[in-house]
Amino acid sequence: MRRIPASILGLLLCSGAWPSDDTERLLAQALWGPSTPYSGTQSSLVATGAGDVRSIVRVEGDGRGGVRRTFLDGPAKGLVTLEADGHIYSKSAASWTEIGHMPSADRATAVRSILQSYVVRISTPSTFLGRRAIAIEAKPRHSFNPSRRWLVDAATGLALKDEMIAPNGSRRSLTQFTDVRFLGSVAAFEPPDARASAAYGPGSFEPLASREAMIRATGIQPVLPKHVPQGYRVSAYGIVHAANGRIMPAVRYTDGLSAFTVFERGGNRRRRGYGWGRPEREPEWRSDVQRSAVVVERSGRSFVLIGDLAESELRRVADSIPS
Amino acid sequence: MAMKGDCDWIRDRLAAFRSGWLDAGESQRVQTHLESCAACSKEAERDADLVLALGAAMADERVAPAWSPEARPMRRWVLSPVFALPGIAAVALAATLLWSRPSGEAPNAPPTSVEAAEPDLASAHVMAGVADGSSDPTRAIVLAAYRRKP
Repeated sequence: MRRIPASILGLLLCSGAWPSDDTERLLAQALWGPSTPYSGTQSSLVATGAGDVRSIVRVEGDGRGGVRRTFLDGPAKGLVTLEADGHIYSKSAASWTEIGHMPSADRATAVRSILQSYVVRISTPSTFLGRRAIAIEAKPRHSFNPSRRWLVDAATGLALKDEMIAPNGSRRSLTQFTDVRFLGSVAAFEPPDARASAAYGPGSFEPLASREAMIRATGIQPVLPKHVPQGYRVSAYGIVHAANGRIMPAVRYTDGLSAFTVFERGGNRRRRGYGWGRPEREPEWRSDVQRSAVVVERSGRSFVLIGDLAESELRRVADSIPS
Repeated sequence: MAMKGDCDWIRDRLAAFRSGWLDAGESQRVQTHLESCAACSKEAERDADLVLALGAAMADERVAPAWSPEARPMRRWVLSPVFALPGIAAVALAATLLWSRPSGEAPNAPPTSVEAAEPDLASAHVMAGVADGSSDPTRAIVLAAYRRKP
């Protein structure tokens, strides 16, 4: 990747003639972290129905995608998490548990997808924490999508600020460094040698290789919505284990910055068609500032749709699930 | 006597040193410096105290969830501070909102109602966003923790 001298950089920024490959590079660094190891403290505000929740987090990155977070204050106080090798682990006392088993992201495709669905603007460098920083703003081309703003360190690409905004303009979260130091070389973070897997719950989300693998794991044919919002595509098929032993199929769609997931409740070999015999319930909406969520029934099958996009668009998706 | 520049270099790496991320040469340099510099040694002790305090805080939060199925071995997942403690509120929610329960489930099985299940799915959705870029990781973890609080 070529480097641009700072003086030319300023001219390009002011003129709006930013080369697209640098936009893609900055965007990728903002999303997936820099190649320079770092250590710092973040302050985070997350909107809830009861107001903003504040957290303080010590963050250390190995420059290869590995990130260790120590939550010093807030709802997750005391938690230590480690992102390494596409997984997230949490440390409780002396033991590690995998709490996130994530679909691998095709980053080049994701960035291209973002550029198709969002207008990405890069601003003139400013100063933040004594460092030159560049603002990136991703505004949706479709009003049902959320928007996002970053302030990235010009030298390394680390996102010094990350702000997520709901489609209606409400702020979902603001995370920013209050101090940061960049390190020389550090050893890559390795997944913990001894760790348990989340047997059920959010951490048990398990991406599978294909739709067919999901059918084999759950024993049911997925019913997918006929309406997929513009710019979205299936990014992962997977399963979630419920605590009562049910295996729930989960299909994830994303446009690169926003996503929605279709879970089917009752994915249990013993009770295929969970809920048969009862009249279909009206869709049950449970949206808040952080996400849109709805529960719908079709022919006795129950689906939970959760998404980052506006409720009106998720409603169109839910309505398109065939009976 | 250690030089000021050395101290800055060392303090930048204390967390990495504690976590074992430094390569052998850097690790040796930090170790040697700590043995000769009282100020940095004290800083390292403060760092270690913080880690111990965090461990104690987590131990305090390790409470068995009220709906933990007795028929199953205790899962480590439920001991995690993020996902633990649905507690009495979850049981009450389950009792009032449970709209169907498949036969054969343990009588003290976790809530299976739409309302009780959805927060877990919301967390699964947002945690998956950490990998595909659709969520700020700090937000995702804070949200998951917040939703599990009773």
